[in-house]
Amino acid sequence: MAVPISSAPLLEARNLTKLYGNVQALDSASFTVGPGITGLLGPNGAGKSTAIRIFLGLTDATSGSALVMGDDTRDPYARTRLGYMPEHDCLPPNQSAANFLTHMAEVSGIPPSRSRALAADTLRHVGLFEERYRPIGGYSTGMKQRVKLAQALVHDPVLILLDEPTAGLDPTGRTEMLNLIRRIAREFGISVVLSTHLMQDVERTCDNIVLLDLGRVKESSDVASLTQETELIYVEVANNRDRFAAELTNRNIEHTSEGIAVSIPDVDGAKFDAVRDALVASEARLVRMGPRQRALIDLFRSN
Amino acid sequence: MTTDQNTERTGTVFDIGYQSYAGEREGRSRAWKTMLWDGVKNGMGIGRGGWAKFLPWLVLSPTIATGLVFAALGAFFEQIGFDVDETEGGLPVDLPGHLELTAVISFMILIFAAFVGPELVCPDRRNRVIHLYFVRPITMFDYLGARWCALFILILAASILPHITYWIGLLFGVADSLGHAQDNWLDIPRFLGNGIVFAIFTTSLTIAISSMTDRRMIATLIVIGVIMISTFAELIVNLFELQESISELIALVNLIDINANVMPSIFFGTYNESNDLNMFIPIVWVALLTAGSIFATWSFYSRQR
Repeated sequence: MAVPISSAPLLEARNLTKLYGNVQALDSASFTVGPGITGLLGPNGAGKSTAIRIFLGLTDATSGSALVMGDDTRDPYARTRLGYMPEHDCLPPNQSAANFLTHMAEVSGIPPSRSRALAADTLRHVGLFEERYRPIGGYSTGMKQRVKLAQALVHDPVLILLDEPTAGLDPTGRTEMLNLIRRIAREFGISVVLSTHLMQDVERTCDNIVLLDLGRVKESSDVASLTQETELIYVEVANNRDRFAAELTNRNIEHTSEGIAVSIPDVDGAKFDAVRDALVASEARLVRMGPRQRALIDLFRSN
Repeated sequence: MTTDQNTERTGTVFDIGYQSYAGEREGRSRAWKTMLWDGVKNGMGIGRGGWAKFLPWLVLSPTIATGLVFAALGAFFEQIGFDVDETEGGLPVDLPGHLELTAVISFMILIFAAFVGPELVCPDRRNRVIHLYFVRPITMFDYLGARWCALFILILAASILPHITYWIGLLFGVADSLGHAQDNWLDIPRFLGNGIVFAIFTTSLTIAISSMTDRRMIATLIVIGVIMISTFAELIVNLFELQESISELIALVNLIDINANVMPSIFFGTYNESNDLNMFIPIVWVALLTAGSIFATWSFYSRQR
């Protein structure tokens, strides 16, 4: 029997509050998570992990409610539709990936006759098919991250919650992991909640974000609208940036220097001509000029 | 085979991509059974390396061997003309019985529990796999219940296998097998009942101690330490000349004595022959220790969660 999918949001937090003694981890947080990839974003201590723990039924909310596809998170049945990849190490070093995943599939309720095949398939999808009979203790950090992801996928859940999935990975490993996460959502049809404090990961991967800060929801929207183009013009030069900035000042053009580039607000036709003249006068070699996209980091700055 | 045949395409591999699982999901019951069987396998080192298998079998083998030795002794005396069952008019012989076998093997089984018990619960916490269990359709009650039952099965097996070996061995060793079975069938419920109580108590105590640390060897040493300390405590108290009933009461702290003598003598009906203390006192004491161990385990895991 396949897992039925209800029309309710995949995750729904209603005035979720969590107190650890005097420390307030979540403060009346309300948000929903729909299909696709959702980034749960926020600095350390924002309440991301607490929210995930509540949705997984690992801890109870002090007040408010958390629903998984319409069901209470404390209901074990609700957890059959979830997968979880923790940030910390959680793999038995002496077992092979194939045996570990088979075991995890069975603990998720899959009959033994099917779990071994599911484990092998899942390991193939995460790129560990050839290595599946080696003890996990001998794996690299990147391979261990893949096993952690595979155990979250092995029972074919509707939604997986990933806690800092790129932690400890080198740039190549990080790109591969993010590509894999995109594949899971696009090709496998499994929705993803990506909890991270790395905004670049969210920008590169997510469709929606929920931004938490001090236990409160600061922003809940789709990534595209948050990173839309702004009124700023971004001019990147290869040399003579200071001379270029000085020429802009001489022409009374407001600007901000940012590394090798200069940002200029409220550009109209006349201002474009003046910027062009300043570039010529400064003899700076132009690399790029165009409207600037907002970055998610700006969300943090504005909050 | 020619080169042309080697290069001829005989099949095509298609990547059918990700396939959603549309089969049956058995939920909590499957999860529980898996945890139980996984516990039994882990305990005996099945599917693991040689060292993991070596330790439990090293401790378990002598208990079964003891049952075999008891049976062989019986058969030997029968062969040289003694009447083991004292029913056929031959020379009677007072062979050690199931009660004595329990006394001999109970310490070995406590050591077996000390090695196997921590194996079932400590690595899950040490490797933090336990977090992956609790996000699946099992509860803490299911997890602890399955691990407890796995250890119970192993300890019960270790407790009754020597008795079964002895009982069946003697059946083949004596001249009148049928008569022997008819005369001694009551031993089966006795050693079975005693084995069940012993397994319940030992499982609960071992799991409770193993819950306190995530290091297997430390848990094993604590279990052995608790057994040894309880024995020494009784020995020290016995240095003082106390009233018989008070001595018997204090003797209840000795875990080896409870398992090797007190409880078996209740099951085999010999308790009143050598004890002044009411038999309900040791029964209540063992029940309290078991309940306390279960409560300690539960509260420890609840706090950890």
